[in-house]
Amino acid sequence: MAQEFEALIVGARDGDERAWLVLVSELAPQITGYARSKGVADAEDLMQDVMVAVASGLGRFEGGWSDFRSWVFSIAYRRIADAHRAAYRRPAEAPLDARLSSTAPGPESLVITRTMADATLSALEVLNDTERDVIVLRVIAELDTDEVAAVIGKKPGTVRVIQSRAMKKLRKELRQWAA
Amino acid sequence: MRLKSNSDDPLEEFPEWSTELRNAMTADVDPLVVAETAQLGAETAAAASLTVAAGTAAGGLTGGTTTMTTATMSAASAAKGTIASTLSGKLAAVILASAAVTGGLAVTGNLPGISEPEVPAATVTKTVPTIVDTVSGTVSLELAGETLSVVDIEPLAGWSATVVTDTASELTVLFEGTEELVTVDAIVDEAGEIVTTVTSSTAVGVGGDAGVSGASELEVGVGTDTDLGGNATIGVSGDAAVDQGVQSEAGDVALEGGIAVDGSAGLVIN
Repeated sequence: MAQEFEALIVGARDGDERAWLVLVSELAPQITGYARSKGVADAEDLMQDVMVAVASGLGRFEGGWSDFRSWVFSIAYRRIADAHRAAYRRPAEAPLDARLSSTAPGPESLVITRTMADATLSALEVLNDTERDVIVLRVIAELDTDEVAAVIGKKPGTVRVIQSRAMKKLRKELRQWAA
Repeated sequence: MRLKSNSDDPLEEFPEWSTELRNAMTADVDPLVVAETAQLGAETAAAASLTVAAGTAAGGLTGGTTTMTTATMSAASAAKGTIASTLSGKLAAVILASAAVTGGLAVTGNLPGISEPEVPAATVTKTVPTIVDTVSGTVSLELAGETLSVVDIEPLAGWSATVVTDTASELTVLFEGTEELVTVDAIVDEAGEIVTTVTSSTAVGVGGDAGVSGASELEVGVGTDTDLGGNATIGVSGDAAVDQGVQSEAGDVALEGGIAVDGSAGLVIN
């Protein structure tokens, strides 16, 4: 696995499009899903930005698959924060629910609107921003707590505290979701 | 849905919800966007690689990232074989479709210059943490670039700590003791410095699971305009009410006996 990853990265650094297709196929759904769950309006566009940033910085990257995923999602984390900061500068931004069920949806928001209907995503509404990052990165990106800590710039112990608090809130919501 | 014991791991405790959320959020990524992104990534990486190579040749620098050893050449060759074998027919079709749409795939080594976007380094240099020492414990903060973050929280015995606000420029940590609340607020001022404020207050009517004493169960009278799901159990301490399980399916709901339910946020004794 480690050798395959090293070979993949060497190919990607060299501009091998097939290597990039493997990387993007593996990571694009998770990055897009992470951005969608954080309410980013154009999640696919953000995913492209992230992958281009990865391509630009790949020459400086050192590490294995876990380090690579942490690095990629740390870029996504910052890009999403930037997107939110830009959104906050716009007046009277609607809450997540309203944004997802906009009356003028694009194809992507139509998909998300459908998923909102079953309350799967809405359970996350009880979480604050950091808690949502931790849970979404654990669930959608399938990162472990150490990888999440690297992504959001906190210690693994702090991430476990945040996750524990988030789970306490989610239990109420998800037991109703399950009922 | 299967519910396991409280493991604090969403993947273990709520596997079905986790799977459903993951599937819902990751579905329907346009294959053409994937192909286009792969092409963009390849072009950008090749351009970055060429830039390094040009710099190395012009300046006589050593240690450039484009130098290939026998081992890396072997790895690259293996990569191409591995990658080719892992590409599904669907992806290959996507490549062909992309080529048809865009008029051809990238030609490595003959690319326009691409300005390099700002990318976080793989290893981030951080500033020395700021430690806020209170009667309830310590909070370690740090400022990395413009982002304020909690490094560590160590509540003293008898105290618990919660991060209630966590943004890039503002943090609030709440320490909860048996009879006292201590709040640590931290902001980044205009000069880019961390400014902290510590305040304390008496713990009365704390929400969530904390600070409830002498709890008693009350049957809540439900008016005709209300629709509460499940039974309501309210723990009352003095004049404060703590919601532990009342959910409203409507928005704001008024109940008899001077109790108001505000969405799912909790109960307030009027």
